[in-house]
Amino acid sequence: MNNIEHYPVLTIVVLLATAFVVPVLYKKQKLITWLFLGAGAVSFWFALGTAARVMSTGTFASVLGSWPVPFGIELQVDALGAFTSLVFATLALPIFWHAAMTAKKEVGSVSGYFTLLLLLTAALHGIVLTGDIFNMFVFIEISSLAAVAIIAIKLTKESIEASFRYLVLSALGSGGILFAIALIFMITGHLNMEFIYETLLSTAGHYPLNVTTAIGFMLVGFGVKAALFPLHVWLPDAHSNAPTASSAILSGLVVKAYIVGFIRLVYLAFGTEIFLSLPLRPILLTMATAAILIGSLFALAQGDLKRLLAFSTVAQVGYIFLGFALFGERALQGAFLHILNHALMKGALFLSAGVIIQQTGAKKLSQISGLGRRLPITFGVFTIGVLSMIGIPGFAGFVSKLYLALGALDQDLVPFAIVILISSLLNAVYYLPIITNAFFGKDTELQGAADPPWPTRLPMLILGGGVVLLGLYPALALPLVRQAASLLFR
Amino acid sequence: MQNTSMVPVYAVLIPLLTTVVIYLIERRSWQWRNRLSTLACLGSFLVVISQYQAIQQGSTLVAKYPTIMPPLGLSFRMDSLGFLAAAVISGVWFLVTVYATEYMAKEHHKNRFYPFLVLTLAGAMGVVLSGDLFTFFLSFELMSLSAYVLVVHEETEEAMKAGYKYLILTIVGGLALFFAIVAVFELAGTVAFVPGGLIKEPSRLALFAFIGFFIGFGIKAGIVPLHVWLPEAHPVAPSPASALLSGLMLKTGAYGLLRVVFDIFDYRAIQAAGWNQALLVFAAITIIMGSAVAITQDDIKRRLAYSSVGQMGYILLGIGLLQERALIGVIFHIFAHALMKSTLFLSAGAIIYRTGKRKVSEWAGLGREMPLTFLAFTAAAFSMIGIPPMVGFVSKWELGLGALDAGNWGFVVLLLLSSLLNFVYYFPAIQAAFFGGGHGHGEQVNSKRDVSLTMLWPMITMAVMIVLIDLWPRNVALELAEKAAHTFFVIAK
Amino acid sequence: MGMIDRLGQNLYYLVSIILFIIGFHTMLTHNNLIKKIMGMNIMDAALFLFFVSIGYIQGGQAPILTENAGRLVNPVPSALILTGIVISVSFTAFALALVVLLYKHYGTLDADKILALRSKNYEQH
Repeated sequence: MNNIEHYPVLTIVVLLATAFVVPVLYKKQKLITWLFLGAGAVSFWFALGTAARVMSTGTFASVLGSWPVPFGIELQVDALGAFTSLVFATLALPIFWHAAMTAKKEVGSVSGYFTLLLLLTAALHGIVLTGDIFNMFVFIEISSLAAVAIIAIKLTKESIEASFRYLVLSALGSGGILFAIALIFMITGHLNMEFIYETLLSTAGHYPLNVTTAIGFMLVGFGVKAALFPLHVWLPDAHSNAPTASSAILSGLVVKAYIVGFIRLVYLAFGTEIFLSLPLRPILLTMATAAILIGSLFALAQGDLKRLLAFSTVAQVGYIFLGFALFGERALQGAFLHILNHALMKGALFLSAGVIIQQTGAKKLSQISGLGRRLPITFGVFTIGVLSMIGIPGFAGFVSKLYLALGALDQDLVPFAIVILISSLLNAVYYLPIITNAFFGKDTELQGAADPPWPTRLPMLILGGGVVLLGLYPALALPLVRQAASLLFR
Repeated sequence: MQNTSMVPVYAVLIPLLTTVVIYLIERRSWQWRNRLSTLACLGSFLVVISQYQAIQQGSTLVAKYPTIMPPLGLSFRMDSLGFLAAAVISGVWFLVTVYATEYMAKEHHKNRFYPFLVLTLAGAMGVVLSGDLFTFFLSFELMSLSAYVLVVHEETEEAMKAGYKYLILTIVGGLALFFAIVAVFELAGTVAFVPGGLIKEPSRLALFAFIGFFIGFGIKAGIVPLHVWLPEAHPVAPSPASALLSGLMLKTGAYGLLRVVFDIFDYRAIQAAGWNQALLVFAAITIIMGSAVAITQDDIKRRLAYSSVGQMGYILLGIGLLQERALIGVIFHIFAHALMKSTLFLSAGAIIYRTGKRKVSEWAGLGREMPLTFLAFTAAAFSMIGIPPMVGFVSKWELGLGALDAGNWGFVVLLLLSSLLNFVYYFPAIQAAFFGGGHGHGEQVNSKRDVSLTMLWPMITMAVMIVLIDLWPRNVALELAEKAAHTFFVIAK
Repeated sequence: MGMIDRLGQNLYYLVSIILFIIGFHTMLTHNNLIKKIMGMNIMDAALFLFFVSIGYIQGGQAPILTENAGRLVNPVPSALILTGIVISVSFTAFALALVVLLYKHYGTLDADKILALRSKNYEQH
């Protein structure tokens, strides 16, 4: 297979092309549903091929068109990009499936929704695979716009308001990122990350202010988009008011793409030496710790199921940044693993929460009492997600917490290991009552409710199964994660 | 001598897989649900004791699965301590399950109770047969979380409140253990149980790990001041579940502490750093507190629960002494207390089942109505007090000798004092039951209404064991305890 | 003297930064949703000016290769900014569409009032 170097491009192109076909055929519901799911499956296949290639031969470049770098655009496919891309492609499948099952009831325009989801996923793949910073910016903009739109498409008052707020802040973030790109271009004259890196090796010393400002703007820009505390203000409203599939994809995938985008810029374009020479680690550590603790505390105060899940995402984003900022081999492995694990468990949680709301109408935690007996499978999946969030061994969340805690101890930073413990405890305090209440609480008036039919059950069951599978066999993901973590120590 | 053997794995897998089968068939046949539940426990028990010969000859059975869940990996191991603990857990579990088939017959949600009863056994067996801290932790969490379902079985407001406390403290304990395990892995690069220990030098991180272990196991074992969940959670559970919680699951905390002190740390490092002094202080507080508060409780199940707190103090005391003879006492007490407390809870359960009287003050005359039940209760209670030749006496004797070996008179006095307190809260209940109350009510005296045989024979069996084990020419359990304690001290040297 | 010179050389940068701050300020402090969108546009324009002026050379020619090609303006920033403008336009269009919907639902364009109306809604539920 010598055309495998085009696989990463094809991952994106398949999704993009389908995104343009779907609205044209909007009248043929069945056909576009199959196209939509088919595009997800095909892109998954390509992402799998990309990951296999990276695992066997390491980083490779894939040039677009016939223009050679530095003039043309190339995809710089390394272990981190391939891993994240595979995570996106894998998670997109059950979420797309769920979207296909529920779109009619939840959103205004089914074909529009499919188009946006396809565009969004394509852009997410682009962010983590590209080797060109302006290209990354374009993908970021596509994903931002699509992400805002898949919230607003629910067309309720709350979702429109939330998506407008998201749009404004997201535009601010984009501004920051574009400004940073301009500053980098100013001193290097390049947009290709590899060339930027090489040029910066010799010129960074002459323009310390430019580099610092650029990294600062990057951090703010990506921080807004990845909802790093205290730039997370848009997230709870946006994620909780979106349609279910959108919430899952926003919480599970979209924020991760920006985190990975930032990390890739740090080691591909700036170089880790510059990153470490600036006082960025303490800043990031503080922000991550605050995110973990305050996100969990806010979640504690929520009475609305989806808002609670959204605040929990703020805390989990903190975990990933914590792992990155600790900057040790095992901490990074933990952070990257958590990208996958959190996507799985939050996906399972959001999908099962969506099913609960759809089947029973219960949005508030207080209405959930006794529902576990009516919807045992849905709440079973929810329970798996919760146990994984708390970090019970045997579930995926435990493995990433283990690596993060080891990473903290590796750096002799015991307090951060304790932060992880405290946040796990807070997770337990706000998640467990939901489950105990659902399974052992008094019955409510919602008598007729039952588990949904099998086609709607399956996506969340797949995600729940994934949480258990990766909890028992993290070896499935570890080789690629190890390779990705070692990239930062070249 | 280490032998690769699947036996420890089978002992865990039998209940684990049966849980799935029970879940699948329970809607079709409740008879098979009950039969399978008892059979799973019996099967696990038989698999364990089939290895008696091998253990007697001093071999350790090991099974390793490093590819599952790296970097820590799963491993199982059965040595003489593991054998004794596994045998008593699965054996008592079997008896309790037999008892439960009758006791729970009129209860609701039985289809939830039985699978979780067996699943909890799988966790408990995993705890005592694990070969490393991680497998231990995994099983420990499985056991603790599935036991939650047993605790809140009644679904009353009281049960839910107690259950919440139990759950949160379980999570806290789990997180403390998690931290400790991570610290051990960081220090030693492995978390396997190695005779002689992994951590030979006290350090700051090692101290954190030790504190983590103490909190984690202390919560499970009900060490004062970490016992707050125990007196609430044990009484609200259905009686068979209380017997398991108090008789067996508390012991897993003590078992874990034993393993950590001797197989993870080098016990001499602990001695040198003086950390065991802290254990002794907590042990003394626990013994006094548990026994003293037990006296004030009128609800029999609460009284028994507080008594368990006091008894766990003995075990902690023995561990803290770091002394071979005391350790024999500890290990034998794990065995003895499992029998005694299970018998007490089962017979108390039988009394509540028959008469609905939970308060000790209402028991006057009941002994004449349910003589066999009360005989079992009396045997176990006398053993708790420490009257020879019952098993409770043996462990106290060894503990006392151990304290003397360590040159500590104070603890001997403490043991005697606690025995006296035990006497104060057990004896009046028995006296009232047999000799107190309505002589005038002839018809009550004549209506001997012991519970049915299904419920009766498990407690009678255990009561007989309590009385006879030390009268038997060979006290097998004591031999095993001696062997286990000896291994800990000899290999370390 | 040197100061003035440097200012003159960096005039474009200076203006773009002033514009950026104006846009940023408008976006964050104004309650009117339309003004927020205008702020967003001003900020974008500032960034485009900044980016394009990186490639601009005083007296340079358009980068069309002729026989007597002198100093050429770097074409890359201009090309990039074309893309940027397209993105900015689509953001603006989408934002305006949302504003129309918001106005339909709430009958006001004041962000604070919308927030108040929404939280009132929450309490009713």
